[in-house]
Amino acid sequence: MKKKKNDRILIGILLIVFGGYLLATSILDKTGDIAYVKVRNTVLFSVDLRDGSFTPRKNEQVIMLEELPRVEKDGIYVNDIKLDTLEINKGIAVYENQYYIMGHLGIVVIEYKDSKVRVKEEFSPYNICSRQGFSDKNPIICLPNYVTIEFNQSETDVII
Amino acid sequence: MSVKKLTLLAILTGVASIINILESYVQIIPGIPFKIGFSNIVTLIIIYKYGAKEAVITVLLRIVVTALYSPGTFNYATFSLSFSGAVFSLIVLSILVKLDFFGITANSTLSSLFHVIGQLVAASFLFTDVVAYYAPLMLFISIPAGIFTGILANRFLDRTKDIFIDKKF
Repeated sequence: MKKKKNDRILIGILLIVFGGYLLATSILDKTGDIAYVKVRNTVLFSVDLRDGSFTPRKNEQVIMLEELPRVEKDGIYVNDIKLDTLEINKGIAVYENQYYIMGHLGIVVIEYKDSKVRVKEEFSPYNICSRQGFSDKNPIICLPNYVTIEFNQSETDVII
Repeated sequence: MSVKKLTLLAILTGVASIINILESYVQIIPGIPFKIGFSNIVTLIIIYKYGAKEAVITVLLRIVVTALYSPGTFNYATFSLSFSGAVFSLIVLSILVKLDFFGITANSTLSSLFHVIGQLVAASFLFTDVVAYYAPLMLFISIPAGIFTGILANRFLDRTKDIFIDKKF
């Protein structure tokens, strides 16, 4: 029975410590102003959440699309012609407020809407990051695709 | 190792793998890749009934089997996360069982906590910045998850006290 008492004390302490830690961090959290889309930990482009303006990485190839492309795993198709400029961590295709990049497993479609971003479409076993929905605070992680979307305050500088 | 023990361990590994695979499709909290870890019930049962060595072997086998059976191609990122989580939690669990200071619930909670710590360590190599954001939440939910699996394992061990599994083969 001594063990049972030990268990209760330990679990109580753990709950208080980590509950307090969680509470403290969630109070300090603020919504971000800029979303940084990273592939393998380097920023590919950023979207300003206040006005939806978009800044690609220096010297990055950006293709502005005129019509909605068809998304397949291996690339995006415009009028059944494959756009072959998208590679992992290289090249961005933009159609209105949708951004197409190549992740590790396939195309990742990122959408900006009403000051928030989401992963609209992606190819992964469990589709965890597209099921997460819109966010302006919680980072979105597409683990098998090595794509992350992180949010920062505009004051903090991230080198693009 | 007798044939009986080998068979039982193989069946338990299979059960754990199936639980693990099925659990991958269920999201408890939408958007957060968190699992309660029901397959760890099997790990707890094995470590309490057989020992640390058997638990290590079955868990490593389970991870490999699950990684091979998950849809799509073998994924290095998810595998490294579950591998480092398993290594951390197994080390902690083995030490705790050896010390015999806490009951099964507290042992399960601590090992679940270290599973998350192990995953965070692996994730910090893959993605540097996001880990800090997810750490408090993941660490906190791992505690009730560990309590839950601990209670379930305890119940199983209680109920099967005088059935097959209790005898050391």
